[in-house]
Amino acid sequence: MFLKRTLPLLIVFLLGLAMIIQFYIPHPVSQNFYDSMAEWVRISGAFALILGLSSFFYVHTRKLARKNKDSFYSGVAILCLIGMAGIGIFGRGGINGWLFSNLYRSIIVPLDATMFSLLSFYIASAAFKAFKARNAMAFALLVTAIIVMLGRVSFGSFLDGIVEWILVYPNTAAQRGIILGIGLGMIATSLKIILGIERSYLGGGD
Amino acid sequence: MIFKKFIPAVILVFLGSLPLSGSAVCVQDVPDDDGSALIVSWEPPGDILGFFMYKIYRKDSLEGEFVQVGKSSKMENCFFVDKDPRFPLNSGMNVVYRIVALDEEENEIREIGVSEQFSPSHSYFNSTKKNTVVAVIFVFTALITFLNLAKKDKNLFIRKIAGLDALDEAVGRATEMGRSVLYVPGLSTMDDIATVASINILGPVAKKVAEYETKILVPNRDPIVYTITHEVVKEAYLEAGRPDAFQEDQVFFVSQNQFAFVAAVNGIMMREKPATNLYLGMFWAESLLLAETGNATGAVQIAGTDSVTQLPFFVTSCDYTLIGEELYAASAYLSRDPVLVGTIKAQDVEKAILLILLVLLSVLAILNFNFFRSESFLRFIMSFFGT
Amino acid sequence: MKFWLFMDKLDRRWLFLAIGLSVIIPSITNMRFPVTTTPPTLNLWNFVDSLKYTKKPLIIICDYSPSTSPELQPMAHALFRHALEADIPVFLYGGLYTEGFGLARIAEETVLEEIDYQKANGDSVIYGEDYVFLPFVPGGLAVIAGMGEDFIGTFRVDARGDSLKNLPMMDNVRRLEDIGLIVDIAGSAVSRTWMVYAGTRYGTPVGVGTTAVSAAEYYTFLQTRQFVGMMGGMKGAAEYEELNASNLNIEVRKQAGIAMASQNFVHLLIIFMVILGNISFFVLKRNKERRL
Repeated sequence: MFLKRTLPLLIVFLLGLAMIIQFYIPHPVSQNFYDSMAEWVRISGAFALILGLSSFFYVHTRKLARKNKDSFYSGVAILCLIGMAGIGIFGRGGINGWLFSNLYRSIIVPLDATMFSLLSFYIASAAFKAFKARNAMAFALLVTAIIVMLGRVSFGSFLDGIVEWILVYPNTAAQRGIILGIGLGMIATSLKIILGIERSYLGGGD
Repeated sequence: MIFKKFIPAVILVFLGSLPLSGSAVCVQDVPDDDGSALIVSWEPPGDILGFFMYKIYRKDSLEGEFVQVGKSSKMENCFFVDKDPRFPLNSGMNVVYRIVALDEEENEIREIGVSEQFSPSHSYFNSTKKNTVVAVIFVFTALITFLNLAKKDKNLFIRKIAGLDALDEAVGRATEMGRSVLYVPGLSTMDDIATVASINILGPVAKKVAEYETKILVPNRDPIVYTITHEVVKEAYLEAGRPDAFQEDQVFFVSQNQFAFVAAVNGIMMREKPATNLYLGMFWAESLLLAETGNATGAVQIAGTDSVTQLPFFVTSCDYTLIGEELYAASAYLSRDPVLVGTIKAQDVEKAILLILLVLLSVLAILNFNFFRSESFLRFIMSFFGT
Repeated sequence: MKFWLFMDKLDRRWLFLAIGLSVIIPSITNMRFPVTTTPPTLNLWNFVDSLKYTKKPLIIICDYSPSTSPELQPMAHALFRHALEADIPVFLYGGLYTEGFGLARIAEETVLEEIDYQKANGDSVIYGEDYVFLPFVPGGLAVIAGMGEDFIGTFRVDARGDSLKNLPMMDNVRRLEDIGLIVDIAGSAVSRTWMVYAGTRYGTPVGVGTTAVSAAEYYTFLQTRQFVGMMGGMKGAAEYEELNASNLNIEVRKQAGIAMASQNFVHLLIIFMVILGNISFFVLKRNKERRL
């Protein structure tokens, strides 16, 4: 119990408090403490990546072993990971080499861009579904959306003024309202974690 | 912002309000720092014809030699901030500066002066952060007060949050249909509070799933988040008395690439057809891709994020959406732990005070209430914020 | 009535097909439309242009992944071109994540090949004097803090592996305070990190280039002047290209300008479909009421 609960909570409390105090002290000792903490975060992140990769291999080798119709994709995933890393590390010229650069340019860039471009299809279908003038508020939303969309096309330049106004005032006001609540929520959550009130992230209830 | 401090100090030197201690070159410490910077200022020579710039030399010990640490490229710029990492300054060092005027070809033509020996010093408190100290004390006080109140009054009111009430029902539906629950803890890292809030909800959800003997799938984008979600789900199964039902490949790392992750999760949705999809945490452009795919598979979807731009997409495609701070309130809402509910009350009070201040100041500004524009009030505010 | 029923139950794949066609047709028929400039882009352009008087360097950060590159890459090209033509020292930087490095390299190669390593005034583009390519350094936030305190020490070498301190452009750059402007091009919230750390903590002006989806979020920070200007989505990039063309007198292929034709058609299609959807909604509603 001590190792699983009390010690982690103690570390969180002490380090959380230390980081708050450090923020106000410009002394070199305090700055060095901040720098070393940042280093430790990076070091622990690197170890977590090993755990992540072991999970990746575990999941996909199991899927391969099951030999069902989707196992093929697990094989592709493993092959791509090893292949790309291998070319980057051992290939001629490393990550600056011809092969790595071209794999990046000709496979990763278009694949990634394709995934992102799916968004335009989904936005269209979501807009078609959502923008129905069911009541007065929905009607206001519909009209605003049409004005802003028209304002973003070349023939809609006559709407530039009103589009800017919508984005600068009503949009900003609504966003600030939400951001204010989020900011306070963040501070409260951080304090709850530092003080050990919130401990669900350690697993289990208490 | 370091310049905010330098420029007023330099102006003061020029105004003659600071003594130049007998030397034409004056050295001043930069306040609120770690002793790694100094401001050097000097009087411009009376006859400036033929002068174009200055070179600044520094000697770090009495026996040492003068080394050039900088150049002031304009004749009017009679000050220099010495904070060059190539020539570091530390508190306790004794330094002397020498300023030399140059002609157009950068030939040294006249020495302006040599400063007296000076030692940079470090501060123990950054006074420019006084405002945040006040904010921290205010938030802490509200939190502690409401924690104590919550301990006395166990029935503090907390409004209904439909999305969280629906969690039970959503997990129950998956059980009835014999399908799994998909839980995406956002795509951000552990230093994002939204991720922490999401993991706080994952615990109770995983426990419920374990009790109902259903399967939960948790794909992760960040390896640190993966290690934590893995432990949380494992613990939840243990707590539900079903450690044997937990399978290692239920919680897994997918990829750090945003859209590779989305492609994998969408693939899971299409192949396994989970009955319930929960998207709680930080999301970016992928929010609509996930939610629309989930919508197409007919799953019940509950989302929650503090990413303001993604909220409209979730609202459109999901059955329930937790907006902003509702995500942070979730763990208190689900556990009904009076102490946690107390913290939400503290948040409400803080928000109310901020809103009152905002409205009050806006009304006063609209009414053109001049006190807030008076010089004395602005000076008070400027001194408070250290500018 | 049959048509309205069809519209009400419209299979979204029909919509996807229409979207696909409205993207493809304008791009293969090489249609062009005029682009008007909005204040956020104009403010950014003016701020960048003002750097030619102070000679303080500009940092262009390609903080995005290949996914958002169709929308964001033209911004990097337009900015880099502007800086080179206006004789503004410029750093190209792939940002805090690994993926941006390759895209910054694409920006470097594309723009230099396009202008044939020569500015409009006939001067050659000289590496180390006109621009420097910064390498990827791991560390996230710690990198910004490092740049704020010791710029050269944070990177040590450039992307070609040469020592940074030997490059002429580095003579006047010791830390972030010596930088005239940072323009972070990103599809994620990382621009806010630059705004908070580089802008608020070290006092360096920050501008932003972002996807159309994220643009609405940043108006808050434009109003508070935490961002000096913004390019929002493809339109922002097209506006910047237009400003480059009209003010610097450079004629190159306008990537975003070309893509705007597709965007115009898709927007109009969505507006048309939304209106059609609403008509069907009301027709069916009235029909239902009549039957009752």
